[in-house]
Amino acid sequence: MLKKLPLQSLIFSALVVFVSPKAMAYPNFIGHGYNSCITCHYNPFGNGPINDYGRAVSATAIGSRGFYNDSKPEDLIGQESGFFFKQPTNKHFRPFASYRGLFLKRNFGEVSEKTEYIHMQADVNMVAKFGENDKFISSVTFGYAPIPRSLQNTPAADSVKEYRTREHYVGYRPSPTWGVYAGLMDKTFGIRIVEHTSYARTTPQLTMDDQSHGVTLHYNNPAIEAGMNVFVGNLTQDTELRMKGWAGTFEYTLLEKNRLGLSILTQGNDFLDVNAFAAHARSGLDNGSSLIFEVGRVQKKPKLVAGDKTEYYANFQNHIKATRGVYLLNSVEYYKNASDKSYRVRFGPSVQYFPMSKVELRLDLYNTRNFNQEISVKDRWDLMAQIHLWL
Amino acid sequence: MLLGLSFAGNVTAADSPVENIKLMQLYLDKNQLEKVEDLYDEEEDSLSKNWMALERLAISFERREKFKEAIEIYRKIIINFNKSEHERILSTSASALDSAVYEKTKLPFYYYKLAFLNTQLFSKTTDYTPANERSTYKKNAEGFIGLSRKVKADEGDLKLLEDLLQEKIASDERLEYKPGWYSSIDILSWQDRVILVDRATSAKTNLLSTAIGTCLGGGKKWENSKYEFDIEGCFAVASATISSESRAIDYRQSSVSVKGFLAGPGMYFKTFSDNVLLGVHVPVKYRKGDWTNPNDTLYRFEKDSAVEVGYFIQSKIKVKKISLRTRLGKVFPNPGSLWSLGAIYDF
Repeated sequence: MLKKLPLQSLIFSALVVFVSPKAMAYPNFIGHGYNSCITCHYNPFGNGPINDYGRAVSATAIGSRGFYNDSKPEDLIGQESGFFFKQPTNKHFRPFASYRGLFLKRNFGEVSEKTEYIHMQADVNMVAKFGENDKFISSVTFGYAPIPRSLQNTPAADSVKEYRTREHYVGYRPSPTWGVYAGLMDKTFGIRIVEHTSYARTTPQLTMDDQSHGVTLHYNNPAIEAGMNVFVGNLTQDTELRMKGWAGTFEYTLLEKNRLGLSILTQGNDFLDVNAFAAHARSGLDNGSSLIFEVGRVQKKPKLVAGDKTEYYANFQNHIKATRGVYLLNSVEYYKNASDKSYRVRFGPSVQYFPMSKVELRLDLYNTRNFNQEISVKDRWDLMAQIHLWL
Repeated sequence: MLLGLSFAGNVTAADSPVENIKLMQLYLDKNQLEKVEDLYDEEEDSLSKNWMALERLAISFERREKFKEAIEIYRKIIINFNKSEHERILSTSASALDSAVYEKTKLPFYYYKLAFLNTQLFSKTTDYTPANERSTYKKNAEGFIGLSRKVKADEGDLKLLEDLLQEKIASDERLEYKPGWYSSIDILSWQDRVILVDRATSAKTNLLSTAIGTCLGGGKKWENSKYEFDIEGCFAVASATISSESRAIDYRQSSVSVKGFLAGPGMYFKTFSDNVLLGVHVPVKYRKGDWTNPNDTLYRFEKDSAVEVGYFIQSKIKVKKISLRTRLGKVFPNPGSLWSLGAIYDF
């Protein structure tokens, strides 16, 4: 494997492994001391609705208070972080709603420039929790989800509904350490970053519509967090398309605000087998800033045709807290298909702004460069402006 | 008129100095500080001879943060009313000093006030304060803290002043630019516009070269707690793929050796944290590529080498002596970006 990689790829990987330090929607918040996703999310591996504590944290530690009166106390802002700005009136049910919209300018500055607005997500969710320490939990999400671009204008698109559920599960958590969950969930692999077009998510095929029905076992203590997920594919899909298999992820806490992790995934359907392995690190810095890094290897074996391929990816992201509510990010991503000598590197500086509780605005610039051994091609520039609202 | 004070003339002086001192105290109690000074100006001839009047004037100056004026008044009180005791305290060692020398005076209070006022002046100094002035305030503050200790002033109060002085000294030290050397290693990538010229027609064809390599170098930096300025250089060894952007010529070449040198000044803001830095860098880039001329008799390269200038927006995350740096920018007039990802080691 090493012999096939160019020198720069090796140095690139070695550098980030040497210098820098899992799986959830905002894994960067390890910079605020939140090592585990379950602190703020119902799903132990993140994504989906946030719990009461997570709502309060997003309002009082993550979000800016620039739109609030100076004299408004933080605990009042925290209390208004509940559904529809109200404190919950019962302890069993927690409704949640979320919308993400994207203004996308592809190839800007080129003849092929294209501008579009995509409603990425419009979900409603209900979490029901019962028992001592909410040890019985269920979460059901339903809403609008666009047909994935890769399936648009293909026969497969007919089997995908625009209004569907991306997550529903029941869980039993007998102790803070152990939990078992069953239903439609994201697979436990790698760092579950919010950027679903990242090579770290597209390469192992773990993007926004790749959830699967299955069972997940979660273990968590201050030193170690691990998950094992056995899945049978998304049961709403045609049988031959369902990706069945298992995935596991393991994280070790090093010096309080650093986590090192390993992940493994093996899945397949009637057309393709995918095996993936990843190593990752997350590191919290001193002022709410953080670094995350993931490197992975993915093997894909088509069953009906020839064309096995091995792909490599790396994702490095720094997340710099500029001031409360404002974060500056820079992602550096690497992708290589081992079967040819070319590879891609994507630089993505971004600004993330939480102007107030329940609102996130984000601007990303992506500069993608192809290192092709045959021809030299111009860089591709994409601009993304996102709005994320939740109730 | 004392110390250039303006005279508002909105106070009515009493006939006797004693009554005027009572009036000054009343104004102090009501926090009508200007009236204290106006009254003093109006009756300076009689009040300047009375330590109680001067003491109230000094308190008024202190409350209005006119520290220099307050210091002058306290010094005047000491020289005019406690000179002999003050001189004895100065000339006697702390262990040999008889407390009877100062117990019947207010010298401990005046020493503490002078220590406090000089500490305040020193704490408020900025980059624009002349060095000798800063040094005088510091020296005087330390001197009067010593004298206060000699006359057994409250140790807790003195400790607080010493803490304030130390805090300011440490803060000034953090603002001092400290030089340092560092080495760097980066993965660097850029695109070059190479122009192939038809020798016969002088027609130009644009070629695009995409290079990636490593850049080894170092630099010198000057940093304080707010900023870091540096000047650095690195030698780049890269491999490039070059091809024609036009269909008129089929020109493709890969693994072309390109060498270059980047140097220039840069700076970082330490606005967010001492260890998370954001800034800009202005690289001057020299490069020379070994791309092959497809036909020496028909074509020539417009330039074999090029010197270009650009910019980087850069971030640096420091973990002790090692920093991780990402830079994204552009070199003009080349298409595409210039970016790097690397590590820095501080010596």
